[in-house]
Amino acid sequence: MVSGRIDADMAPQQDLVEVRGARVRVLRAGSGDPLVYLHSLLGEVRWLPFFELLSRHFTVYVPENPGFGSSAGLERIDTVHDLAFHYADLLDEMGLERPHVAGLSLGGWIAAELAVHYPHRVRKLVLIDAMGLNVAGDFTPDIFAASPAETGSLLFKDNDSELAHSFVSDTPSPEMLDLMLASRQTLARVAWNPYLHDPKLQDRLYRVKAPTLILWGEADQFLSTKHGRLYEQRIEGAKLTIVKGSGHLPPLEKPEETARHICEFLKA
Amino acid sequence: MKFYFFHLMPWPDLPADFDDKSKHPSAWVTLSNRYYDPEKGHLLYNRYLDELEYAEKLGFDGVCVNEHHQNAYGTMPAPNIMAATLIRRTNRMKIAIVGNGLPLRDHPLRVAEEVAMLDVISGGRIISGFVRGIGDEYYSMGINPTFSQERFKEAHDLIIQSWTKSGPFPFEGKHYRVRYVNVWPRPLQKPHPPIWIPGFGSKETVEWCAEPSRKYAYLAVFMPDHLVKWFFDAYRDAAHGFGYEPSPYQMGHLFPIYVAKTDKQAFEEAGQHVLWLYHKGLRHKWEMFFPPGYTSVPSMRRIMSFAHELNWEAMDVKELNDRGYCLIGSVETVRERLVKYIRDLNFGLLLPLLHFGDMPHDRTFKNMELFASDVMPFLKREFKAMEDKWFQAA
Repeated sequence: MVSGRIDADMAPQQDLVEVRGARVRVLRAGSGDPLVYLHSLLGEVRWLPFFELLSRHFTVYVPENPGFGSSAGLERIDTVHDLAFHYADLLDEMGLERPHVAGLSLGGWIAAELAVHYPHRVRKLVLIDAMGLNVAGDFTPDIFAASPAETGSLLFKDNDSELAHSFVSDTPSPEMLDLMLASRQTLARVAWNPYLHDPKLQDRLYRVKAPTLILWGEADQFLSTKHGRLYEQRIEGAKLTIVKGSGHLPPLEKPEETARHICEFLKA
Repeated sequence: MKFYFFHLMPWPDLPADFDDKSKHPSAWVTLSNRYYDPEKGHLLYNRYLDELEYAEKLGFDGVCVNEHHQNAYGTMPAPNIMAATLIRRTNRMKIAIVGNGLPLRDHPLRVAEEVAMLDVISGGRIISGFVRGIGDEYYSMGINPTFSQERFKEAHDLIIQSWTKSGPFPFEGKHYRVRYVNVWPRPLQKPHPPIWIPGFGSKETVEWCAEPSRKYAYLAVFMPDHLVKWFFDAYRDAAHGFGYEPSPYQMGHLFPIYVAKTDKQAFEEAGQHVLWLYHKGLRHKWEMFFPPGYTSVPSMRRIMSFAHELNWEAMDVKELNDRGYCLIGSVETVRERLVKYIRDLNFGLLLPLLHFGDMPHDRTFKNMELFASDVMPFLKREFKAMEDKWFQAA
């Protein structure tokens, strides 16, 4: 493992962790019980206010998915199950036996799969606007066919905000373009068809043992609240909480409120 | 020189408000099939097949059919069916299927079987093209584009083995696994029908084609002059790297050609049809034309750097013609430019698209006839040395 500081203001550590020979980038900061955050389809592995808020209470780990940014190992990832195994391996490498696991969007789906495959490795589970389920008759827009502008309005409640433009843009910097292309490609690898879900997941969610909080952006135009309700129904004891004023990305759009819900749930 | 008349079989009757891009962002994937009228389609398919069959009478070396799905640009989702209808109505000319979209089919052995059948029925007149299918088709068929390259190569390997190895044998791939590969019938041509690979944008594909065990013909499709040159140079460089001199028949050029008595007449007659092709038929939504993972991130970055060159809608007929996206003119003009092309680029396969867009039947016949009488024999004579050196030997 190689470590180095990356941002003087926020001062997280950046670790490069080898998983089966492929290097994965992990941001880490704070102290207290470990909390692993699995990022969304946007690949938000940079030190966001949301992470800073969580790091006041927890040791926060933000690993970057293979295929996103500079993390390697995508060639071994064909399905979401490969990602679940990848994260089990990553927890082993980082020496995290039973951390809290939170995931947003794509990351929420992976977190749910991880909790299904390895119920005893997840202390508490937080699913935020998580992909992974199919709600019969519910129309999920085609994110792969969406232009950057359309993507922005699907994902962000305020798609004209500085925040939205920092993730999706018609005129991206070369680095941003690379991340946009790589993110799109990596998501498609595991989620093209069946579209953004695993048909077997719904029936396997009984295996989740961790207490579970489900957070959902009130104004998610991409994945409707029905998906959150279905997770709530299928995971025993799970509770759905709506994050007011947010689109698909509550940790980015409403960091304080989202962090507060998570802290309350994890500390209870 | 060899001449293969290419037909796309477009659906010309687009909605009246098709020029409104906000209503109709694409001629693919999302353009409703309610605009397809099967009664008209019956007449149109038969008219188009008449045009293909006529090519034999006019002395073309062959015709080309191809595969496209769920769009108005080309209505041949099953090119092998088109080849089958043509085989029984023709005797001499080659029928090039360019090509079967391998990753779009769930079983490559269906392609192996169908092409072998066609080759046997036709007495060895089949040229077998393989393609990945264009980006939009991964949306239309629900096939994961991120595995497109892998599936293409693996399906190709399985098909070639099924044609060349005695069966039964097992095939173990990542995407295709068959315990008993034993394709009946075997193709008539030995070791198998010639393989043509239409390409766009990938240097890796060119190098793969040029590899000595393959020596597949690489077809430049609707490319501006400088890109055709770039790809043919890349092919020659790759072949030299492998230690051999490639035949000009390993390179082909496909683009619309229209010939008339004068330049003026040619532009008057062909202009609107060329614009139909480039402004309407090829209207794609960018994200659908380039689905995720269809090309690698570095290739995608490169394509985006010359994206302005794909912005056909910003080009008028003159610009399309000047850049080499089409060739319109009098017999003299067309002869002159083709001679220069062939000299400069040294390729042996010319695949003129002599029907394009909403061109009517009589105009198509007229174009085919004039090309066949005044351009084709002239070029055959002009480049007889190429034929003598390379084709007879092969």
